Amino acid sequence: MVESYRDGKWAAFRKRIFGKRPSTIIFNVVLYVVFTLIAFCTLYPFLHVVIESLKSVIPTDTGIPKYTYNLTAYLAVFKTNGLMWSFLWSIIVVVVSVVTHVFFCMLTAYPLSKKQLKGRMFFLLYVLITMMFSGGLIPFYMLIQDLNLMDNPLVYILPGLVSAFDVIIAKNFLQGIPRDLEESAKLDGASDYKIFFRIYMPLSLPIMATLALWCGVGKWNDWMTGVLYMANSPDLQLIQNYLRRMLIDTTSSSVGGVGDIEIKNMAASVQMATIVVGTLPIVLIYPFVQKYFVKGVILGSIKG
Amino acid sequence: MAKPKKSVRTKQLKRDWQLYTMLIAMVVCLGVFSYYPMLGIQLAFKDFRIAIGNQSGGVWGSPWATTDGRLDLFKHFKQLFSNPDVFKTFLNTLRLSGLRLLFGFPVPIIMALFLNEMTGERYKKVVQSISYLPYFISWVIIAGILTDLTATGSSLQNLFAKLFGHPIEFFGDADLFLGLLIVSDIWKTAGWGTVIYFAALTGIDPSLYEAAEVDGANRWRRMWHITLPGILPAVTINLIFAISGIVYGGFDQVYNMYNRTVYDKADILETYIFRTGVVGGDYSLGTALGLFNSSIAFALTLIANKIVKRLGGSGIW
Repeated sequence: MVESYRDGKWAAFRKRIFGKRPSTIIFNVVLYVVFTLIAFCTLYPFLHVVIESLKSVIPTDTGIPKYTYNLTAYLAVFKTNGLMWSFLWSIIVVVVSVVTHVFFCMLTAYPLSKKQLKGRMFFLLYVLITMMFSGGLIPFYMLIQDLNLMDNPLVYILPGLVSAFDVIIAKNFLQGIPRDLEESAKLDGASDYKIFFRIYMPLSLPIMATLALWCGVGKWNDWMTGVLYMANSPDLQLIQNYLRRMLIDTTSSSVGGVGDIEIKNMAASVQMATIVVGTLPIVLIYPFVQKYFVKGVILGSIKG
Repeated sequence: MAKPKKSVRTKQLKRDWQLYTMLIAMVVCLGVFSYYPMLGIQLAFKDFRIAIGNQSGGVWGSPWATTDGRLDLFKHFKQLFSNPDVFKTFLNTLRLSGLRLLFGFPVPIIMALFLNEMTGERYKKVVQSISYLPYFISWVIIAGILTDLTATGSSLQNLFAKLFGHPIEFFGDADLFLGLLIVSDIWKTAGWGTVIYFAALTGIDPSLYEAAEVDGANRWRRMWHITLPGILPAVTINLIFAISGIVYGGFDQVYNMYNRTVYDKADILETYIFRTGVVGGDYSLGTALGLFNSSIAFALTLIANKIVKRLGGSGIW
């Protein structure tokens, strides 16, 4: 009885997933096989890194190396001060820049979402133009020099305080919030700031999460700022710069600084373990916040 | 007539002054970090020098470009166009972007079309989630992983050795390196690229599919006549962006992956600007090159937009 019920359920499942006609079944089976392969190929490099990080060599008499799998590489990673420091420092930079970026983007977006504001079109245009034109790398580089932001941690925060794209997305979101609450608060004599902080900010949590995540991932993956504007202070560079020194710059001796000697003597397994540690924050939060990333893209595309 | 108008304006200012104060940070920030560097473009027409003692220098203090004492504003541009390295890197950029467009651009479209055909919702979600992941990993890390994956003695190289009889030097041969750039770019971005097409797919009326099924249209016909036209606007917008970006070869990726042995084909304009302009300190030449590049990108956006509109699609504005 139970057996046949199970069979029936399985058949129904099979029919729902794969269909009835032979051509449909073949199509669906091929579809599933191909996408399983794609998923595997996508994950393979990560898998490789994890396996390599666990591998350690046992010297043998025959000359053919034997391998065993353990956590020694991770112990070595956690003992490397350079990595631990740039990991923590990156988290500090990410948190501060996410908080300030989201706050100032919202603060800019709020007045721009008010249709009754005189000069609104001027300010909107002022924001939009920065999306289309830029001075280019070198004028920007010289500006940072002139502002004394070289080797100054503020260079991580200030230039990205407001971004046109995020302001526009936030503005569109704010325009979708019904105005009844605001109007009743106005009648009670609430100021614009109070309305913004007490009514609009709490209602904007989804869009703020979206902006925060995009900003956070961008900062975590940022290596250019470190290379360009922190060239003389490796201690203030971010995790990606540490990884760059370890993985890419190992042959050039141009960069000195925290843990350069420890970097150069690293075994492959320790390198891979460092990659795992450097990728972990993203991989860990990713499954829970994926929908916010998707939302950000969709909101952006509707505007475009 | 003038008096009441003025009072309206003061009334508005009195009502909205707090809203204006909220814009101050943005005006200052974009003014300093976006608009001020645009003025720095004048360096392309100047001979850059550093301010020392009484000598003026920098963006504003450098003299206008001269050749043999005569004013020659386009000196750096002339130098650019007669420089074989610039020509080579420009060609490399076009080649790399062209290959990316040819092989990389269709992948997310095809993936979205076929993922849409998957009947098992849960499995589809899992595949999607996995395919998005590489997008969030930095090129620094990917470059590191690729180096290790293709190192001598790795399981991948052992496989190649069995298949071709010798290991394959992806980082040592310019053509193979281009292939590696293209494939790794597809690996990183193709999955995420489907998001925008899925967003477009949700806008398709399901009754269209039902009607087509009643009319006896098979799966392929439904894909061709309903799904594809449904995502076509998103495809054209992406295409406009891809075409206007053809002068950008992907600095993040190339700079982290290339090395001297593959400069021949992998050195692109942006890496060249970085090396000569920033590292080499030739600010005027670097600015001129940057201006040249962004002007082409802007012109291409206008042209691509116009063509799409003429063909009956909706452009980006």
